[in-house]
Parts: sequence; C-alpha cells; structure tokens
Amino acid sequence: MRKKLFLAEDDELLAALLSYRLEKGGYDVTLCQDGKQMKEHLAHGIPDIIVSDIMMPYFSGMELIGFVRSELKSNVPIIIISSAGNEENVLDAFELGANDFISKPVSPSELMVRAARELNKA
Amino acid sequence: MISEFLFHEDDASKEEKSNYVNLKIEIRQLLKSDFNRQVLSEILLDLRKDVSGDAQKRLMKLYQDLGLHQDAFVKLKSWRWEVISKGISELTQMRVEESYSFITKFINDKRGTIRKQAEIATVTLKNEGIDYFLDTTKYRISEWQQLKLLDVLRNQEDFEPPRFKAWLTSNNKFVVLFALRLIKYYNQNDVIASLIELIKHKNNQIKDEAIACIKEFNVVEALGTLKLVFWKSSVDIKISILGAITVLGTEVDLEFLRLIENKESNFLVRSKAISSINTIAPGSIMPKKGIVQITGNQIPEDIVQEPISDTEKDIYEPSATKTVIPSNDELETEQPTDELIKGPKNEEMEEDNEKLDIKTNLDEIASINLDFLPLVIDEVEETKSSTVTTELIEKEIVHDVSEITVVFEEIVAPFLEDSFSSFENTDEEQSSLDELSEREVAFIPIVIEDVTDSEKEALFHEEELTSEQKSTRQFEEAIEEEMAMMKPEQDINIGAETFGQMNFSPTIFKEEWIVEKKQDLFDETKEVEALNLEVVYDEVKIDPSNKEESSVSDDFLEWPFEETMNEEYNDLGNLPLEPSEKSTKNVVDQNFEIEAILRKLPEPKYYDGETILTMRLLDDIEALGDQREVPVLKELLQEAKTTCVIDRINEIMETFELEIQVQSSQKEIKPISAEFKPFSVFEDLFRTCDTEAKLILMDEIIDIGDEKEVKFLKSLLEDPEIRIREKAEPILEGLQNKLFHESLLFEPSLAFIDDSRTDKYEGSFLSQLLSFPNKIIEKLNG
Repeated sequence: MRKKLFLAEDDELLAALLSYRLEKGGYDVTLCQDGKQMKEHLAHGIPDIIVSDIMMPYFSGMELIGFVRSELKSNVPIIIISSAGNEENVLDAFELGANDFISKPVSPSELMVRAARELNKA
Repeated sequence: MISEFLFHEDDASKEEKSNYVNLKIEIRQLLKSDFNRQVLSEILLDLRKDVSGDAQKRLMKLYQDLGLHQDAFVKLKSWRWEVISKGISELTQMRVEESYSFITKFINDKRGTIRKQAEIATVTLKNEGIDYFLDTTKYRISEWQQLKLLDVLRNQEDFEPPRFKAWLTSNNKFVVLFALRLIKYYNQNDVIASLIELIKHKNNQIKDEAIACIKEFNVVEALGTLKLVFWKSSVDIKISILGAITVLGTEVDLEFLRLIENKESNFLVRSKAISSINTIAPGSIMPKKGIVQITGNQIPEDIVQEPISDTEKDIYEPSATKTVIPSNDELETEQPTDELIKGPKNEEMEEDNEKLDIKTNLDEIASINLDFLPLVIDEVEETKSSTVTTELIEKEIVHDVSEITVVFEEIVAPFLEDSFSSFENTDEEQSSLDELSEREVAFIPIVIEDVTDSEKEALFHEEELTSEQKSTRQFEEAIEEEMAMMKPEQDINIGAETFGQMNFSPTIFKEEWIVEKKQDLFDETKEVEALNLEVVYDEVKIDPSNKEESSVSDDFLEWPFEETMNEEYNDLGNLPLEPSEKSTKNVVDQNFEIEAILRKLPEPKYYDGETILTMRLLDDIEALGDQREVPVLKELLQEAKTTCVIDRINEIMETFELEIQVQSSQKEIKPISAEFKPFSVFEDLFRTCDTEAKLILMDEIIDIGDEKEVKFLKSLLEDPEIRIREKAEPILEGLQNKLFHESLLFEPSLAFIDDSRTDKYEGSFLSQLLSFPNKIIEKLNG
C-alpha cells in the first residue's frame, strides 16, 4: 500500500520535481504550495508523513509543526526542508517537534531515504 | 517532463521506455524554438540551485544532452559584457567542462564583471583551474572575490590543493596575498623561509598576512625578523607583530617588549606590549591606574570630607590619586622609595608627576611640623597652601624629608581649617583654573566677561597703539556716539538694541539737531581725512510739511520699498516709472556720484501680461523664424495696441525683409537650392523608424508639412513598401492643396511678382500651377 505524504513547498519547480520523485518512490503525494493549504488538507485527514519547507508564505513550516503537534495532537513524522544557513530555525523546529531535516539544495534521493527511515521508526 | 528525464532509469519498464522516447521526440521539436530553449535553460538553471546529489548531475547532463550549452557558447561571442557574463555563468553552473578553454581567455578581460565570472569559472570547471588562474591573472583580486574563490575550492570534489608557495613570488601582489591566505587555509606550513621574507614586504596587507601565517604555523624562527621590522612598521603591523610575539615569544623577548613599553609613543602599541609582557610573564605588570594604596592608616575622624559631586569628581579624578603618607617608620620599612617616586605607570599619572615640582614641595614641607600626620596635600593647592602654612607654622620638620620622594597631595590640619577657609574661595579658584589650563581644556568654550565703557577707556589708554590706530579708534568712537544720538523722538515698541541692528531702515534726523551736530561731525571727520581715508558726507533732506509723518512711527519699521514697488509695478501706463513722491519723502538721498551712475543705468520697463506674452512670442519669432513669418507678423501688427509691441514687430519685419534682400542678392550669384538642399524633418525621421511609425508620421505631414515635404513625398511614391507608396499619393495631393491655399491667403501676389522666390516655393501652388498643364496632358495621354 502506498504511503500518504503531504509535501509543502512554495517553489513550484522543486515541488514538482520532489513530488515526481516521491511518487516514483511509492508515495501518494499531496502537493501544497504553502502551510495554509497544508492546514486545509490536514483538516481532512492526517497523512503518514509530512515534508515541509520552513520558509513559506502565509503559514510557515514552524507554524505548521506547532499546529500539528499542539492542535492536532498528532505524532505524524515531519521532515523539514531548510535553506542553508538556517541552523537556528532548524533547532527551533526540532524543539517544536520536527523529526528530521534536510537542507537545500535538496537531494531527492536523500529525501526518499530519510522519509523511509522516519516511516520505519513510526 | 523534466522530472521524467531526470529520473529516468535504464532498467525501467518497456512502457516507460517508450514514453521516454516519445518525450525525447517531443522535446526535440520544442527546442527548435529559441524561446523554448531559453525557457528550458532558465528552468534547468533554476532547478540546479535547488537540487543536489544525483539529481543535480542528471540535470547538468540533461542540459548538455539537449544542446542548451551551445546557446551559452554563442553568448560568449557577444560584444555585450552582460551577455558574455551570463554565458560564462551558465556554463559554470552546468559544469560544461569543454567550455574551460574558451572561458580562460576572459581571465584578463578589461571588463571587471566578465573577468570575475571567468575567474570563478576557471576555478570551478577544472581542479587545475586555480593554478592557471594564479599564474595568469594580472588584475587585482578583491577580498570578496578571494572569499568566493575559496568557497569554490572548498566545495570542489576531489580537489587536491597545489603547493601555494609557488605563487609567493608572483609579481601580482594580490596573487601573493591570496596565496598566503590559501596557505593558511590549507595549512601548508612548508613555507617558513618565504614567510619570514615576506615580513619585510613593503605592502602592509602582505606583511600582515605573513605575520598571521607565522603565528598560525608557530614559526619561532621569525621572531628575530619580526623585531627587526617592528620599528619601521605602521601601528597595525606593530600590533600584529606584538600579537605574534605574544604567541611565539619567551622571557627572552621581554626586554624587547619593555623597550617598546618605554619608547613607543602610540598608546595602542604600548598597551599591546604591556599585554604581551603579561602574557609571556604573567604578573609582571600589575594594574595601577586608579589603585589607592592603603597602608593601614586610617583617616582621622576629625577630618570631615564634604561629599563631592559627580562633576567635581570628574575634574579632580586625574589628580585625585591621593596617597596617604605613612608614618616615617612605615616609609622606611614598608614601601621602597623608587615605587613611590614613580607612582602609577599609566600615562596620565606620569604626566601629572612631571608637572609636579617635587623639590618645591619638599622645601615647603620642610618648614612644617608634620607630627600630626597623616598629612594630605592636594596637588592643586600645594603652592598656596604652603605659603599660608609657612606664615602660620613656625616649627621645623624633624626629619630630612627631602630624601623621601613622596607625592604629597593634601594637607588638612584640623586647627588650620578656619585659616584656610578665608582664602579657599579666592585662591583656590585661581589654582583650579591654573591646573585646568595645564590640562586639556580645549573643549570648554571661552567666556570673557563684558567690559564696561570705563574699563574700555582704561584699556585704551593702557594699550600702546600707534597714532593711526588711535585715530581710527577715536573716529569709531565718534561714529558710535553720533549713532547713539540718533534715537527716535517717539517711543517705539521695540528695544533700543533692535533699533540699532536695523541698518536697512532709513535714518530720520531732526533738522535743528542736524544743524547742531553737523559741524561737530565735520570737525571730527577732518581728523580722519588726515589718515587718507575717503569720507562720504551724507545729507538728509526733510520735508518740513511731512515732519510728523517722517518722525518715527510703527510704519517706520516696515520695509519702505515694498509698497512703492507694488504701486510702481501696477501703474504700467506711465513708463518709464519714476520713484513715487511718497517713496522719496523719507528716503535719504544718495550722493551725487552714485546718482550719476544710477542715471546711466537703463530704466526698467514693465509690461502687462498680454504684452509680455506678445513680446515673448516676438522674441521667439525673431530667433527661430524667417521671412515666412511675415504674414503672422502683419496679423500681430494689426492687433497690436501698445507702441512697444508695434515697434518690435516693425523691427522684426525689417530684419526679415533684409534677409529676403540678402538671399535674393545671393541667388543672383548662386542659387541657394544648388548649395543647400531643402531639408525635411520627416525625411530624417524616416531613416530610423519602422513602417508603422512611418505611416503615422505621414499623417502628420499634411498638418505640419510645407513645401520641403513635397519633394520628400514624391520620393516616397517610389518606396519599396507598398503601404507607404499608397499612402504617399493622397498625402502629397493634400499637402499641395494646403500649400496652394496658404499661398493665396498670405501673399497671393508674391510668388508671381518676385521671380527669385519661385525656387523657394517649389512644390507649392506656383509650381503646381505650372505643372498643371503637364498633368492634364499626362492624364489625357494616360
């Protein structure tokens, strides 16, 4: 059975590329352009894993983690994508409850491996 | 589509493979369009920044497989720097190694942006690129560029740094500097001899970097050279050298550091030297600034110290290192005299000590009985206090204190408090001022007490002035006195000081007062004449009937000319304007010479709004127009009301008439048309614009064109563009009709009377009329 994955990334090109790779890797990917859209999708159901960029318009990745952990009370694995040099944000994200992070430029293969590992942990 | 290309695998299913082949065919078709190629290039370049690892490599491969790098190569051939730069950037980002040899040519390009891109590309594309770059670059390598290059090298895969010492001998000092930084970064510590040699480099940056390397690699051998170059180095380098000595030095080097401490004039360097000494030998120099030496003596309870305000603290702080004098026994046993003499080693304290005449103090103190110790002498008051105490105290000091070199700073003898209090407020103030003058008090504004008139007089007598100076002074005083007498009779609301400052206000005199004072003034000013000074005598005219008005009132304070000017300006019918009677009433007459000069100046002419506009139009016509404007001028002449406008029009018309005569006379010798071809503005515009613009311009020819455009329009009848040809024909007809009407309207007879103007009116009604029979014949034939 294909695992459900929510991907929030505001860079359309990168999102499309990652989405293609993840789908090819056996995930059922729901693509969201920002945290707000992801929040709407989460209202309909929680996926097996969430991959989210930190810096996004309207509703940032940090807010999204807070929302999932505090309001939805969900332990769904969250992998964050951060830009290089945003180490402070990464630490904050971990404090909020992120499970893993991957920095830009993203290696799709690496993301696949990390996602698989988080799912195995869960 | 891109994703499918990127993540396609050879072991894919048949369906996927056929899909992949179809995509390839599709993309090949798409790439036939330049625009699509450009878009795809942009997408791939954008994606390249966001992906890494295998995906990035595939992306780069795809870029080259699709032949997009060929476009970048084309860009390299452009003559525009931004295009070349973009081409280099694309090839670098996509790691097109085959472009290496093309890009290296730009390393010494005179255009900075291209050069910098080429430098980055050279280092990025091949591992040996850095060698080539350091070998060939002739230009400056900026700090930022060095950082970028270092970043490229750091991220280079399988990069083995070359031995950068090879470039320490480069002629380009920036290469040397960069090489030093790379040596430090890659820890290439086999360059000791070169580093020591580079300490002697004349360039401070290189010197500094070499010292940093020496420090980093712990090159103890360099200590001798460091000491040698120290004294001739700049402050920054001195500090760097001291930093290196701090790390590398031993106790042997303390002597050198102490020498710096004593001899060096720069405070920063001296501080660094002290810091170095303390690092090498901890505790060698103890902190002394602001340290109060407490030797067990307590201040007697009967000395009441008044609380000192913060300001006072600030003022007395430097000299307030009050040393409580120990008893004589304690002096012998506890403290070595040397230290007491030297006192604190900091700069300020040393200066204070220099200023202090210890010998004088000791002589003074020798006459005082110091049995009531502890004695505290304020440095500031030492002279005065000693004088007083000499008078009051007759006992002699028991010990020969001259041998003890101690800084005595304050004496507060309980039984002398009353005696001191009498002079504290006077002498103490003076002494404080003296002390302050010795210190740097340049920031305090100088305030001088106002000198009264009597004091001024006294000063005047005291000063040794030359006879001329005295005469000048007397003259000034006389003038001041007279000015002081020129006070208004009536009380005015403003203060006398304000009145005195109003130099622009007309001065009003009483007639009888003038009679009385005039002679005095003349007598006094005669003295000034003797000094070869030119004296101008002003006379005041006062109309007796206006005595009341002329006296000082509130109106007097207003600017006198404003009202007059407005009146004059509004009264345009009476040009040229004379100063109004009212304005002359209270104004002091100018001297004759000035009046004579003023009379020579042209008087202003004032026009009303309409006249001003007409005059401006006439000016423009004169400047830009020619004889063709004559009809317009005639119209204006009919409408003109004022004489000045009529005169002006006639003047311009005369000028144009003259031009016509000159031209006609020239034509007799040589026709103008043979020399100057009629120039059409449209013809010029047509050279640079496209067909659409030409069609739009042609519409305008009818409205603003004249005979010059006729010839041009005729030439357009043979234009290769059919639309222009078609449009030119009706426009030509329209223009010719227009010119025909115009010629009838303005000067219907001119073209017929003056043969010389037929050439000028070529293409106009006349020429059309002349060609008309031919046209009829043509039509009949055609």
